[in-house]
Amino acid sequence: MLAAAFLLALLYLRFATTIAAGGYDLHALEAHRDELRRENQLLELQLQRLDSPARIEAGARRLGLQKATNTFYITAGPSLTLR
Amino acid sequence: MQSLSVARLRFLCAGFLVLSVALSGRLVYWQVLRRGELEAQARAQVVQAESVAARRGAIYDRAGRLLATTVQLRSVYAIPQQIPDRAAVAAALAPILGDKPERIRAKLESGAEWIFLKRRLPESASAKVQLLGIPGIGLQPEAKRMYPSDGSGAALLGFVNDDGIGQSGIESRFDVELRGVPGHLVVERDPANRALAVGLRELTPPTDGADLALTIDLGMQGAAERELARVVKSEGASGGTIVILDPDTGAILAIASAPGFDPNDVAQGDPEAFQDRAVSWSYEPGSTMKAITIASALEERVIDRWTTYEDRGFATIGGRALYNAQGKIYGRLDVSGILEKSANAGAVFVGQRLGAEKLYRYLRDFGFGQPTGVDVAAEVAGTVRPLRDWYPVDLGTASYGQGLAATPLQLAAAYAAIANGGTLYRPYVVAEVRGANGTVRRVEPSAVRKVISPETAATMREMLTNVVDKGIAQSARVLGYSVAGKTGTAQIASPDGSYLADEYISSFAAMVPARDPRFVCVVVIERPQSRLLGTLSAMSAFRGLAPDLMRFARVEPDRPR
Repeated sequence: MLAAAFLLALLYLRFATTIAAGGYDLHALEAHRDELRRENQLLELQLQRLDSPARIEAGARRLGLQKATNTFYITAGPSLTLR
Repeated sequence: MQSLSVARLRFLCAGFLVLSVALSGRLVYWQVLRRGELEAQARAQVVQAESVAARRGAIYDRAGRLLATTVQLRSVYAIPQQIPDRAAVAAALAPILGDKPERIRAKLESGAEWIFLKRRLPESASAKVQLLGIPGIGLQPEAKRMYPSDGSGAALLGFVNDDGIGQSGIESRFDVELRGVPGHLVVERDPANRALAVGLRELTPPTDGADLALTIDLGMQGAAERELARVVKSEGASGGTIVILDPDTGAILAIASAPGFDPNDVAQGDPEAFQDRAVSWSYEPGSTMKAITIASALEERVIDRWTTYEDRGFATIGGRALYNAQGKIYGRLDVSGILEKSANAGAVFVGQRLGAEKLYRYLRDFGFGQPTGVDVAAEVAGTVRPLRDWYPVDLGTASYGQGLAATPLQLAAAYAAIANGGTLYRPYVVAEVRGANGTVRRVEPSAVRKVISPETAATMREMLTNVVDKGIAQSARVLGYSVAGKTGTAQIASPDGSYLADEYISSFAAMVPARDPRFVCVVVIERPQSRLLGTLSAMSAFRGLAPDLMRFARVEPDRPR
C-alpha cells in the first residue's frame, strides 16, 4: 500500500515535471517565433525600401541612365473570344 | 519513586498535548482562517497583469505599395547591479550606441535597478550588442513606426510620437482607426519571467488597427517631389508645393511639400516642414484666379467668348487705378486674350460686368474661403472676406486673385471643376479603411455642387489651352499632349496690411490633356529668387512631371509630336 502510494506520487511528480519542462520549451519556441516574425518584418520593410520608385529612379540616374523620351502606344484591336 | 515517574510522565504528556493543540490551532489559523490572504500574497508574486499592444495599421498607396508600417526594433537596457565593470561596459557600448562612454557610465551608476541605455536601435547595432554577450545588458523589442519611402509624402502622412500616437497628417487624422484597441493578459510567471504552462492565463486579445489604402500614387508622388525639389533648389525658393488631382473624382494622386523631412527621424526635421503646405497654408493666388472670374462671368452670361474691350494698361474702379503687370498696354482684347496676356485690367473689366455680389457667390461656390473637407489634419479655410466688408476696389483686386487667400488644394479643386465639366468635388486621400476583422469601408467620391455648366467649362478649357499654346504659359507645353493652364504671380501680404517689397509667390495651375483632362496639377513656388520670372520655374516643374503622369497612367498623346 505504501509502495503503491509512493509509486503514484513519483508518477505524478514526473507528470508535473514534464508539463513544466514542456511549458518552458513552449516559451522558448514562442520567443524564437516572435524573433523570426520580427526579422521577417524588417526584411519586408527593406524590400519595400528597395522597391521605392524614387530610389530606383535615383539609382538609374547615378548609373547614367536616361529616361525614355518617346513612348509609343499601340492601340489593340477589338477583343476576340476564342473558343 | 514509581509515583514520581508516573507524575513526570503525565506532566510531559500534558505538555505535549498543550503544544500539539497550540500547533494545531496555529495550523488551522494560517491554513484555514488566513488561507485567502496567503493565497493572494502567493498569487501576487507570480500573477502579472499586462497590456497586450495592438498592431498599428499600415498605410498603402493606391497600388498597394507600403507607405507606413510598424516594426519591432530592439532597445538596449541595463541591470546595473549585474554588471561587474561598468566603465569597461560603457566603453564597449559607446561606439555601437553612438554615445559617449561617460554618459553611458553615468546611467549605469545612477542607482537605477533597470534602465534603458538606447531605444529602438537599428538592427545592425542591436546585433552587435547581442554579440558582445555582456551580463546585465539585454535587448527588448519595442514598436517603431517606419516609412519605407523615407521622405516621400512625409507632410501628408505625418508621423507618430514615442507612444505611437499620430501627431500630424494622416497619422493624426486617422489615429483612432490606425491605433486599434490594446488587449489584456493575466498570466502566472516564474522568477525568470516565463509563463507557467499549467498556471493562470486569461487573455483578452487586442484588436489590431485598421490598414489604410490611399489615393496617392507613389510613382506620381515621387515625380512631383523630384520636380519640386529641383525648382525650389534652382530658384533658391523658401518653399513650395505641388498638388495633383483626379478631376473626375477629387482623388488626390500626389501632394508634394517643400521643405520636406524624413519621418523616420523626426527629431532632425525642421518643424516648419511638418506643415503640409497644400492644405495648412494659404496665399494670395494671383492671376490663376482670372480663370475663376471669367468662368463665373461666362456662366452668368454677362460676357461671352467673343466679348472684347479696349485695354489701356489699367482699369479704374472705386477711385483707384489697377494696372497690368509691368504697365503693359494690349489694345483690343477678347476674353481669351485677357487670359493669354494675363491682363489685370481685363480681369477688372470682367469683374465689373459680373458685379461684386455674383463674384463673391462664385468664389464661395468654387470652394474658396472655406475648408474643402479633405480627410487630412490641420486644413485651413483660406480667406474670402464677407461681401459686406468689401470696398469697391476689392471687386477689382479679387478679379485677379489679390485680397483673398486660398490653399493650393482649393485652387486645384476649383480647376478640377473646370476640367470635369463643372462639378466641384471634395478632395480626398483615403480610399479604403480595412479593418483587422476583414471589413472594408470604401470612400466614394463626393460631389459638393455643380458650379458651372459643361458648356462654360468647355469654353474655359479651350481658352486656357490658348494660354499655353500661344499665350503667357508657352513654357508649359508638353510634347504630344494638349495642356490648359494659367500662371499666377502674387505679392506676399505683410502683417501691416501692405505687401512685401519685391517678394512673390509664383504658381501654375494646369489640366492635361486639355481635351479630356485626366490630371489637374497646381505648382506653387514661394519667394523664388527670380522674382517675377518664378512662373517659368513653376511651369518647368509641370513640364518635368507631366510626361511621367501620362506614362504612369498610360494616357495616349492627343496631339502629333
